[in-house]
Amino acid sequence: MSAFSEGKGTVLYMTGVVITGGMVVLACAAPWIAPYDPALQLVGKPLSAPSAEHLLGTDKFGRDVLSRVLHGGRLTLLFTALALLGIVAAGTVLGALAAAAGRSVDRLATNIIDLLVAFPAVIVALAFAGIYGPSLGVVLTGVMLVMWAPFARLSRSLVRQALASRSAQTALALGANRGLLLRREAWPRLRGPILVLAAVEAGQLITVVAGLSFLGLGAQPPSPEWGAMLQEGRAALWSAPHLVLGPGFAVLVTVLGLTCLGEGLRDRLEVAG
Amino acid sequence: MLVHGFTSLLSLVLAASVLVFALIRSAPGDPVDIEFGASGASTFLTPEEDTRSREVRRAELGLDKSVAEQYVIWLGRVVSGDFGKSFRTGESVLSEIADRLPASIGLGFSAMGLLLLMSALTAWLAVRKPDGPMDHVLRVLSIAAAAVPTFLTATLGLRWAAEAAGYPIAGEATASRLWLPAVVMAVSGVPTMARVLRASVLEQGAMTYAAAAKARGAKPRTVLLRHTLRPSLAPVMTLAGLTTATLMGGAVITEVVFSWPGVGAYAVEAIGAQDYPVIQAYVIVMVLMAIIVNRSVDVGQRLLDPRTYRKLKGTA
Repeated sequence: MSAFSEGKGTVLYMTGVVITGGMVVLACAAPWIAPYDPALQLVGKPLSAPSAEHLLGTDKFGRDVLSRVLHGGRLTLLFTALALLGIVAAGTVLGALAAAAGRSVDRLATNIIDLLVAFPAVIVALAFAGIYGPSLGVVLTGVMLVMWAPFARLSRSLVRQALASRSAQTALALGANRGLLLRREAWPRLRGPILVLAAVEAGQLITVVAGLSFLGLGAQPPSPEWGAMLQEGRAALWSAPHLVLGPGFAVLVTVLGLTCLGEGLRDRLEVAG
Repeated sequence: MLVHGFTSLLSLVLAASVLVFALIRSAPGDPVDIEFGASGASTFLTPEEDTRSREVRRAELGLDKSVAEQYVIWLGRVVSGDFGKSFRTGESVLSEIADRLPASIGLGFSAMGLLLLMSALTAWLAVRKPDGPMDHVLRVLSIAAAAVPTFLTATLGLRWAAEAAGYPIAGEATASRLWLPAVVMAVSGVPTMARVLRASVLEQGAMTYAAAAKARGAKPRTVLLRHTLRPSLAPVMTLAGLTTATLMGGAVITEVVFSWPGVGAYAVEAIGAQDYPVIQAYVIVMVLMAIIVNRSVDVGQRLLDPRTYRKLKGTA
């Protein structure tokens, strides 16, 4: 292996680690580094543009936008991480089950998974918000019900490959137990690609949920959550565009970091596709 | 192939209809209680009369039947296009959706067309010089573009266009208003699409059948179009299917920001008013569109690259 191929993806990967890690650190440290209390009104003149005193300006209640973006990151990143954990676990397990199950179950599962992969999560979340009322929890549930599918598809195809491999067939013939086989043969093949997909999908998850909150269907003001802040900012788009720019760029930078992380990992692990 | 395609299509539609029905049935609150108000609230009915009138209404709506029967009745109504009347306007939901669908479809097709056109041009520029720096540029661009959320491009684009070019913020679905939302929806998908197209063309160009065709003395044009471009469109088809899903989702945000009179903006309005019949119709239309796209991609791939079909048959 040449020096070049060893270093392949390192730049991308490190960029991803630095950006994503940076956002997480900023969010965790928010109570100590935020210049103002995020809920305190009239710390500055309402709707004032970015200045030395308020780096990202203030909103219509005179709250400091930078402090709110920093605190908002806590909520946004925390629920993204929890939702991601849920869909990764559910998708991986269901995909593996489909691969290990009989032909007709597998075919049905494949059909459902294929349709869900091609179905816009935004629309399911929209329907959920319509039926159960707009809230962050409802929207997240809707999104999660669709977004497990890419993990299931990946897990299904990799587990199938693993079970069809010569070593797995030999082990089966020798009477190996299926659970052990999944752990020994399938899991090592699964780990890397699932991690890559998780990084990319985490970015998608943040974008989709922020977009829905922006429409007023997800997190509700006054909570300092990026999507909810965007929704408040949309109302003042003409007089104070910085209200959209602050949380908007927070979303952009986080998703950029996660995508770099995913793509960089893909190169490092030499995952195809 | 056709028969299998049809049964799987049918089972998909049925599965989707059960899910939609379950979603709608799971709405909090009893429809009759919502209509009649809390029990005992009536001032001119005795409690017994109140209960009886509720039961009559329940029977009228078919809510006293078993869930399975209710599903069949519901499916019959949906298939015949009867989505009921909007709670807000009292108009037939079907006709309201039909009024707004052309604007959405027009925007969707324009965005997709623009996306494919821009991607093809970019890929063409990149393919002319293989192993050039274009691959890296496209990759970086595709990562960056994937990170830019639609609501940001849409709001900033709108603000910029309104100030710099006098773009009308609100109004009818006219061609002079169409271009901006279409560009906003298309632009983020271009680098990824161009990258896939470029890689696919290079891969197919290196295939033995392309070389064989060239050796047979086929015209370079034929080699490019039939032996390289045609099979290389198969992965593009897959991506186009996935991109359509993204576009359908992004369309909701874009339509709202640009006050575009399509079904997405209509659905968002309906949610604010808890207009259940409209939400239900919107979900059904979207599910149908997703199924149509999904199947078209399947069929398209088989037409473009016959090996896909054989591969599918081999593993199924």
